[in-house]
Amino acid sequence: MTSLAAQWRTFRAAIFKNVRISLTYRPWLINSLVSPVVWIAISIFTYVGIASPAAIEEGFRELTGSPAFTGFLVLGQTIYSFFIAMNWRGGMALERERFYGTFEMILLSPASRVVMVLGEAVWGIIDSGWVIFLTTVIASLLFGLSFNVADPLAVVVGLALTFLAMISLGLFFAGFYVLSRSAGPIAHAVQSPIRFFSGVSFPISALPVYLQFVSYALPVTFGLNAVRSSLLGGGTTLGLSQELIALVAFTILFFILGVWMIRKMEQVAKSRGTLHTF
Amino acid sequence: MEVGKEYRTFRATFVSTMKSVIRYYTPTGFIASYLLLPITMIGTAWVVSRIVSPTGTPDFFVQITGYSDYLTFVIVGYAFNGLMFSSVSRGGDAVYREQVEGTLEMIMLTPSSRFTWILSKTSASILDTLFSLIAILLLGEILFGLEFQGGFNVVVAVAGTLLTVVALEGVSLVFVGIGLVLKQPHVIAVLLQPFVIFLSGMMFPVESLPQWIQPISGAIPLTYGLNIVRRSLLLGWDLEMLAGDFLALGLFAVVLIPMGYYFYRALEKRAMETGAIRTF
Repeated sequence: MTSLAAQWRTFRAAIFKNVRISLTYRPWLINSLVSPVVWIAISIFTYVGIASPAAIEEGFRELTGSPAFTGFLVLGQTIYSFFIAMNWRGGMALERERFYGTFEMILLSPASRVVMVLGEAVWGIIDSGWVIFLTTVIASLLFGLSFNVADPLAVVVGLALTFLAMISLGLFFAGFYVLSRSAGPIAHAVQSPIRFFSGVSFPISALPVYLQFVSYALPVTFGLNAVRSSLLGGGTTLGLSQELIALVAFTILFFILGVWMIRKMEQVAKSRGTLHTF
Repeated sequence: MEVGKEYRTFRATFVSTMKSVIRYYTPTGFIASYLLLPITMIGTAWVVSRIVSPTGTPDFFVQITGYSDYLTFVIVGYAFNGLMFSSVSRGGDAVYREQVEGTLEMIMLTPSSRFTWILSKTSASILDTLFSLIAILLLGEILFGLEFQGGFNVVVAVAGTLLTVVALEGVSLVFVGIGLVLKQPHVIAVLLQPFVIFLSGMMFPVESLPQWIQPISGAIPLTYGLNIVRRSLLLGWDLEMLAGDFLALGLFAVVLIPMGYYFYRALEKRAMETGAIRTF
């Protein structure tokens, strides 16, 4: 087993490599700043573009107990943006190395693959975090969002556990994408179903009951519930215990699955010799 | 210009690009892209419309658009999403791939026409997207049922789609050039996609946007393409009734293709002078 210092160096290298890449490709920064606001506008106009405000408020009141839909949609898009960042940062970490032809060299090194992916994922949180925070503030001002925070601890714990669950999910995707040999289309296509089932654009209670089972198999659903309740509905840590426990469980589950998947990927790649083929 | 040589360049590039497009899709990737993605996108529209109007298409939508079925409106709109995204990203991505694989300089050294080469690369990508467009329409019909309220003018719809493809070819040329200079052309596509979805009336009518935003929609070729296809397929409008949209698309095609090519050559020259052609 490699030493803790070696793990730290791997982790740090994965982060600094991405800092340099981010500074090299500056258009991504513009994209990170602008896109989330436009996506929030799309989310809102999907409603206000087809129905009167009274009809939308009535629909939301029936499903959530509150007529306020802007906050629901803004926060939905915000948390979903974190998932997207995690999907492309952590999830695509190994596939990106494969594409650039550096993956074989990484596999030859004694560095932990899991720590490397975690480094990439943590950078994803840092890099996207401040941008998403900023766009949430802008969107809140643009679309008139009012917060109702009763327990700041619930907000902090809810956000932290949501991030951890997503980092674990990114670890799982990293191995899965390489094994699938179709990383690009799957990474792209997985976004829309997760958006649909986790209730980014509508309350999941609007879905038929049999589809809601799928929703509750996704960590993003619980993350969204926790963040929306703590920021908009005055939810407390105790009141959100179900969501928080679910997020912890998802974090552990996907971490275990992720480590297994990455080991499996390496084993399959080495035995079949298909790593460098596209 | 030797036609035979141009044809060989076009064919060789087209075949190699199509091969990489096909290789891109494994069965899992194909199912994810062609089934999961459209079903959940259209499904979102279905759920949203049921929230605001449990009995069917919201009256508000019918009043401002004249279309009787919101879901059909969205299915046609979403089918065109790939076409626009492809024109903005695929050409640039294909050239970027040559850069990453280290073959771009060799291509630049050959006597083949750059215009034919790029045209072929973007055409292969657009062909793939046209396939996806048809697949989404078929999927929409099978799963959700498309509602044609006033006729079904396929000829006009196909003509509108083809003219949209030609106009978007010009857009594609511009983005190939931008990709050479800015690197990672994908980012430009990712950046533009939400703007296009927001402004072109893909998921909701342009008429519902604030008044000051609506003129910007007119600067996007896709807005006219969508108008033609929706009105001809869903309302049965003919060529005469859609003359304005056809004219606008034609103008885009005439202006954007030479402009796009000129822009590409200028950016390619700059990339060669600065040595940026080698970096990615």
